[in-house]
Amino acid sequence: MLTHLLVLVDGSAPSFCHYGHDRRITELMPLAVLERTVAFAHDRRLALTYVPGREELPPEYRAVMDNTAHAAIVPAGLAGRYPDAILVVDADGNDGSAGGAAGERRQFILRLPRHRLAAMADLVRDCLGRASRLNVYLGDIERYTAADIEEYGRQLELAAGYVAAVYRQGSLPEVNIFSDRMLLSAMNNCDAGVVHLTAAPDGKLYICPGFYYDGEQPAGSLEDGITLANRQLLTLANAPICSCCDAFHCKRCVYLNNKLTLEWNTPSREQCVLAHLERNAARLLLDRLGSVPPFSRLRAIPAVDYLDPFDQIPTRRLQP
Amino acid sequence: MDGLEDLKRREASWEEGRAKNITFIVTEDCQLRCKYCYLVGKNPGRRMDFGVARQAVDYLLGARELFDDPSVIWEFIGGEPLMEIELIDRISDYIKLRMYETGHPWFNSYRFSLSTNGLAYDDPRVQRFIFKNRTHLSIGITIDGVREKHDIARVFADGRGSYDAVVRNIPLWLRQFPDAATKVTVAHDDLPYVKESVLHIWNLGVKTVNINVVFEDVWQPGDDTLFEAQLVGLADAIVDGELYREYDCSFFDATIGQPLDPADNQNWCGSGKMLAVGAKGEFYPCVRFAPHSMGNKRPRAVGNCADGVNANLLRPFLALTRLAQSPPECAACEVASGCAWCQGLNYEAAATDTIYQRATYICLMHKARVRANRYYWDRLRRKRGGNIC
Repeated sequence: MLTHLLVLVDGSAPSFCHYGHDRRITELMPLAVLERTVAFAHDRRLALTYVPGREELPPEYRAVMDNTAHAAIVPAGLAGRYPDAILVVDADGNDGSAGGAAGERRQFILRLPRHRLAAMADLVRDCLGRASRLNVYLGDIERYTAADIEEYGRQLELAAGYVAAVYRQGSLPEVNIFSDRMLLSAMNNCDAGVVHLTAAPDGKLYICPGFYYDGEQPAGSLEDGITLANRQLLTLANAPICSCCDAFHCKRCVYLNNKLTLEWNTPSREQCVLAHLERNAARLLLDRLGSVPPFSRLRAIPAVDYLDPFDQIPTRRLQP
Repeated sequence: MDGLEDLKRREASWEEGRAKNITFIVTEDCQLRCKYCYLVGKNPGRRMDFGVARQAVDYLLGARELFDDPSVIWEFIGGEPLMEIELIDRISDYIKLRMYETGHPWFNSYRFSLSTNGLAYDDPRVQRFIFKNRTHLSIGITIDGVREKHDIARVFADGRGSYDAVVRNIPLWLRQFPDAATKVTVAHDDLPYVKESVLHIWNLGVKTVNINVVFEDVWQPGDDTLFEAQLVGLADAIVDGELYREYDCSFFDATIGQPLDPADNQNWCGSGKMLAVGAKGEFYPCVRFAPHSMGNKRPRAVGNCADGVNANLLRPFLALTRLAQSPPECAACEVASGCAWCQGLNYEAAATDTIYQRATYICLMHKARVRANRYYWDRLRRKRGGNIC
């Protein structure tokens, strides 16, 4: 059931998830479109999340946005202007120091392009002290090589050490790539197109921002509502590989699915392997924290001898 | 023209599905313009170059970790494959040579397979190829039944029927392949001829008739009733004449028409488990995804002979399940078993660019077939005192 609407107020807003884009020039959603978007969400009782860019929005935009309860995802450099927003950390450091007042804990998103992968553990460590929650999203997965996947495994191991130290000190920031799998007992995925849609500056609705930036067909419009066919293929029930998987924390990113396998419901090998590296890192971290409350109360994550659930499906061979 | 049902049936008949089916699309041209053919983009321009075929063979034989099936069927398809018999002969020679030189296990367990419209069957070059490969070869000729039925659909570009040009080669074919089977396709226009066509083909000496209705959106109200009547008439003829002792028609199958357990979730179609090599060296999950098969969708390649198989693009095909692609009414269908689908048509007919939306145009035709099957097996059981084997 659709409950959320993400609004790309500025098309040049930095990515906060797996998708990427190279738009640098401000691409504001026309004010009239923003107003219709808010009305669309209001009529359907959808919770709003705004995604502004790096440039300060004109006051009339803020007036429309602030007129309704909402969340926001903003570049970390704008932390002061958006006191309750989720902050996106640019791994290249283009937004200055990651925001938030001293002593204040915020929710952070660390989006990590491939060329910064080797810095992941250090960046996670830097965020931990200021985060109530940290979501790490890898960019450029479509270009990942076997060496990159190996590096990710190393970075997870290092980062797990930092996280374990923080947890032992009694601070409990959630880190999606570790704690989500510990806490989940069933799939909890992104559910783009099912639970949330994205309104883009062109006035159209998309499954997620990635579909907008890649020029994919819209999922509907503010005038016609959702017109997306085969929406059932976005659900877990119609995803044969994912529905027999226990990497419950995996975003099951339908944007990457579509980009790498041409199907919304089929993840690539790279996605599955990366998610299982995280799953296994979470398992080892939970083992390490076994006697530390509240981890002592969490159910152990079982060991598995595969990294790609596709390999577990009989007759589905033909892997490189 | 060959179809997925044929491929599946042949795999079952040789090596029981243990064989990899590798199809070379040697040409996209054909002398005929069969009205029901899914190859909507026939053209004389795209034919396979031997260099492309050689590169594909080298890749396929070299990638043993990917292609480790115990046996292989090297298939040649078109358009009409026999229009390129010299190329086929050259590719076949190269395959045999390289399987031998590389010590490949397939050298001891391979077949060549062709499905042809039969027009050039008696061409001396074709006959030389048959003689040279006779111990490792199966060839199917498509004869669609009585002249009226055959010539409704299987026509030359100028509209002439091809019945006479094909049927003259049937005796030679049966001398060389006495157990040969033919493939019959049924579409809307030729429904009135189903019964007499099957009987006619048996009279020609072809004892096995593999027959199916087209999957496409061609069926009209009342077609299912007419189809059932044709099959009931055929059933009467088979039982009354005790033709079941010697002949086989795939429309009658004792296993169809049952509900399917959710655990029985296999994909029906073999697309993706086979591999088709396009004229320019592209790899396709089957010929139905090649450019000349696609009317309104982009072709869907899963690699090419230079870069190899793209495992990510192949994953959706190998992960396909019955339920993931079926609408709720199919999942709950009380007569689901035996109801087939074509992944290529599903893709082409889907509302989005997906292989996960099952086309159900044949629903009523399948149900008619199920009813006729019940009639047939009931009659046979009563005639044989409860024993249908």
